Amino acid sequence: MGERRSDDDGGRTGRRRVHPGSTPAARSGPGPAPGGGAAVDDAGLEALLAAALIREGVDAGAEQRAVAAFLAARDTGAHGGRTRRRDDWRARRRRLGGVPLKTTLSVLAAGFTLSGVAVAGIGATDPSPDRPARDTGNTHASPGATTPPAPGSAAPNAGSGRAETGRPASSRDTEAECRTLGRAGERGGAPASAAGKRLAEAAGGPARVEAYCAELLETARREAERPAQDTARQSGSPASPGRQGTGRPGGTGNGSSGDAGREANGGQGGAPGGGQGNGSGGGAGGPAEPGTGNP
Amino acid sequence: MGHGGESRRTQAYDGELGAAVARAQKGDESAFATAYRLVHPGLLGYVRGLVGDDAEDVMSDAWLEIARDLGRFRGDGAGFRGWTATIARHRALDHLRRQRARPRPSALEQDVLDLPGPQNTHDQAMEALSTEYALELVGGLPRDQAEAVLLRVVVGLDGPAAARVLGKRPGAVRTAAYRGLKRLARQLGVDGVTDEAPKTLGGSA
Repeated sequence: MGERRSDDDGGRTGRRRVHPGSTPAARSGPGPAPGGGAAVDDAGLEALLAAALIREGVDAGAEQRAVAAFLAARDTGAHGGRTRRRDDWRARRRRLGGVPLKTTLSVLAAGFTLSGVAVAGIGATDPSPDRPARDTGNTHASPGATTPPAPGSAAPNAGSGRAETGRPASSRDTEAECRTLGRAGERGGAPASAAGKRLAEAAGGPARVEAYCAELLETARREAERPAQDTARQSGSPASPGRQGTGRPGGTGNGSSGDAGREANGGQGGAPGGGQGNGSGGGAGGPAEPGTGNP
Repeated sequence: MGHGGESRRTQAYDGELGAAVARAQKGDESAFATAYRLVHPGLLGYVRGLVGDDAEDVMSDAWLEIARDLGRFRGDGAGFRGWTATIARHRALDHLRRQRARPRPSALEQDVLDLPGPQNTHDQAMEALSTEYALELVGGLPRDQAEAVLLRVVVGLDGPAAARVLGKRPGAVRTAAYRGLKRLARQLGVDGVTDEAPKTLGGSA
């Protein structure tokens, strides 16, 4: 039977690259035996399989049925059908449509993820040398945070991720609240209660909020214009007493611990210069006992 | 790996096939017959690996659909092989679903008697792997490996086309084909041992 089968397999010379002894054995069925069998190389194996599984020549009746179906479809106009996606095997469109979309989405997702990690990392490892610089002039504002003082800066993160490198987040928060307050005032609306309360606390009383904010924003603007190296040099300068009590702990830790110290300092209220800078942290800290963090 | 003997063979036919398909799409029935003769043997081999004895019936259904939808097809000769393989596969899976059975590769004596084919020399026949045994080997593979091997080797599709037919990622199909071929090579290598050969040779002579 195997013999006859092979006779019908069609003449494919050059395909039979297998060890001569291998196929008769194979014909007898699987029969593992010890010893070094003639291994079949990849191309030879594929040729062998193709030779065994493909029979050239077609059944005439089957072909005629297919052609009849073709004629029927042609004559009834079925061949005018719309090309569906699964009918389109043109190479170019597949490459443009299928793969790149997936690839693009993956790359985008990876990009967002990594950039998120990077921004978070910046915030978490706020280096301590930056922290003292804040005290020299309340804040060393990054350009992003302050160049546009009014528009769109109401959100605490309006200064973009880069702002975090230069300044503690809470100080920016206070600035942002000040701006919000200013715009709310322009619109005639009342400031948000929580933010207003924190501001009042930081400024030392509701009546002083406006002056406090004005000064804070002005300082931030000045800081923005100062070159970065200048800021870095200033970080080594002698610090105000307030900084040693509050700024250091905040600087070594993450943002939240710094907020605690600064916030307490803010409760001290009204102190010009360093007091103001420390007080700016109060925005993020929320209400706390005044003066607890002060030396 | 995808460039075995069968791939080279089908690639040589692809130009002719593409031209025939283009003419058939314009209504030329003899061109359709040419395309049929070019792709049917490979498709039949593939479907036989899926459904065994019923491959001819399944392919008959598949060709009805191919003939009906030919106007929708866009692509060249290689694309036509992929498109028709997809249709044949769907018909085969429908068949299996109806049967509620796994593919049963078998010997197909009737096909042997029916099908015309050039006569081999005796030597070639001696060296050939029997269809029966090849089907047995491929049928012993996991389904994904068997299909990947058949599409690559028998239909002559390249990796991306085989992946599209199977609805899988090219990497997965490449791996499946690789593993399947490795396994087959191992089985054939083990079988091709000398102490088995003389007996069978004597028996078949």
